[in-house]
Amino acid sequence: MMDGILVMAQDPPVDIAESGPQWPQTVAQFEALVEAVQDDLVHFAFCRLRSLPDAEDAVQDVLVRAYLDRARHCAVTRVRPYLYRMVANRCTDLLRQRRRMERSGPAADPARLPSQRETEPLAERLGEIERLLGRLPRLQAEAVRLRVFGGLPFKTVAEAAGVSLATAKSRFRYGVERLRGILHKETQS
Amino acid sequence: MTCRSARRQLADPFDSGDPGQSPDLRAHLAGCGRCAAELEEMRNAVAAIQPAGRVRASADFQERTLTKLAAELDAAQTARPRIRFTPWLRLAFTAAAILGVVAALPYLGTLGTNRGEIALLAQSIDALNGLRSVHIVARMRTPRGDNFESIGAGYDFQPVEMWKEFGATPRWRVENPGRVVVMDGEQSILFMKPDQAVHGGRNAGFVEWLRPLLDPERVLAGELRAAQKGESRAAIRQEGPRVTLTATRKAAGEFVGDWGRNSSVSQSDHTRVYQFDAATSRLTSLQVILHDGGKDVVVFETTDIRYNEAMAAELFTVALPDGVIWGVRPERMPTDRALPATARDAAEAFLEGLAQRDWERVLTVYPATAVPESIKRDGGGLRVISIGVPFQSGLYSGWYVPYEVTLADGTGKHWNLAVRNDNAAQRWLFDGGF
Repeated sequence: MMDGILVMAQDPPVDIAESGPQWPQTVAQFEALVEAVQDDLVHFAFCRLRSLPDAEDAVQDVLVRAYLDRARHCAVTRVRPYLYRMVANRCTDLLRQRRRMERSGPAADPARLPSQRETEPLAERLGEIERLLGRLPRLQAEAVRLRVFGGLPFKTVAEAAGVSLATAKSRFRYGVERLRGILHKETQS
Repeated sequence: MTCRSARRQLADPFDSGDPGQSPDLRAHLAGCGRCAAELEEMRNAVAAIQPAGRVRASADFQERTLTKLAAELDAAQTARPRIRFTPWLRLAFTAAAILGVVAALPYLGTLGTNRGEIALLAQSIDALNGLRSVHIVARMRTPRGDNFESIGAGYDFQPVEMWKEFGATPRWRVENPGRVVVMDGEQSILFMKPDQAVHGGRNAGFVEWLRPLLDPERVLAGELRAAQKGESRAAIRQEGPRVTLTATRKAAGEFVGDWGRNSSVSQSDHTRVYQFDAATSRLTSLQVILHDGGKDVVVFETTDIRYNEAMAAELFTVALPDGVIWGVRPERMPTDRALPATARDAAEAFLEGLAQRDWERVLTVYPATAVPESIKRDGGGLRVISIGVPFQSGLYSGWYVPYEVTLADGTGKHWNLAVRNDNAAQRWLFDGGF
């Protein structure tokens, strides 16, 4: 261990609460941001990708990109919605890649990691959920995911989607109504 | 409230930010079974897509993310090696170095895993923000007029001064009583007083081990990285407004008969004591202590480090005397005479050339447009008594050739000539030791 103890973080942690968040401009702020959002974003990505390693990779990609582009985003005042949008887009890209790979031939069956074995039941259930959400219009499904998987209030859903609060609520409501119909049909059949 | 307007608000009860229902909606739902049933069905549908559990990021997720960022920044640096350093790029590249160390912190021998180091490293990025220039005043135990590498516990202190201006095109100057190096943003010139000069590029190695001090914001990361590699034992301590980094290193190199040991900082057992300002993480002082047996001698110490001084453009130029003797690249040296094939041949060409005042022969190994007057004066007409067997020692990539001569004034000299051929032309060159 080192001879002396050193505690001297001078950067205020990134405020990701409602008031005055800023895009991280220093490593200390970046580190604080990662700590604050990692669990929420990884869970959100996991709900789409159903693989913890893939979800963590996706979130890492997003966070690293967020820091690399920090000059461009320094005027962004609310970090969290922006990150959710980036993660959602990244997940969509990865799912497209996955589908392309599946079309080009069966993937090798890699040995499952312990973390994958632990999350397997959850992933199976999410596979069923995603099958349902996949039958919704894309924008409605996205609003539902942000609200249900991300646990975001509609205000943040609206910011993440870049739409008004009323539009975000409408998309959610129409999405859930359509989901009701799908569930009803499936129950009947 | 109508059913139509009530249904428009049916998302509100699902809002985690404001899950309450308006009094109007509540009243409508209390009296309208159809709308209430619709809300209930929506609740059921949302419940049907609720994940059955929640995952968390792995315990090492944060560390891996920092490592990934470091790799990205390193890759960017590798892909664009000749890119000009804007302030943002300098920030990013410094971050890469620092993050690399952050990722390695758990593996540092004497440094442990205290997050304080991460904070200090991260904060040193901020030290870079707004850094326009640095001016270091120091002193060093070295032979007067020698290069910036030679040290010795027995020498008196000589002044050393360094200036660097940051920005899109960094410029710097390093000076001691015998030498001046300036880098004007595009090229560097080493002026060896009174009559020799050498051209170099932006990264010429004219200032040797002092070079890292020209990037004081990277000193901390560099030292911690060295500790990670096992090249040193490092410790950080904070005392009030001051952070002290102590890095102790063993002499590098394999020595033959101890030749070269303790002749430079790298080739000596030594301790570097850096001090940083805790508030800004800026380097405030450096002391290098040579451990020679049981004796500890300070061989280098800064006496003043000033940041953000205004620097005149003239500082990064050097006035050269008329008739200056320029260094010549090995591949452009004359080839019209027999060239030495071995280290011993090179020593012989130099010494016998001096003995016979055959300056053309000296120039077969002396990489310059002419032989300096000081060498002609001191060496011309010497008598060669012996030239010994070449050997290698320490970190020097050339060869040492023992020699014994009697100078024209009768003085005897028994020393080692340094010669090398590690250049693209593989030409044997005189490199010092006379």
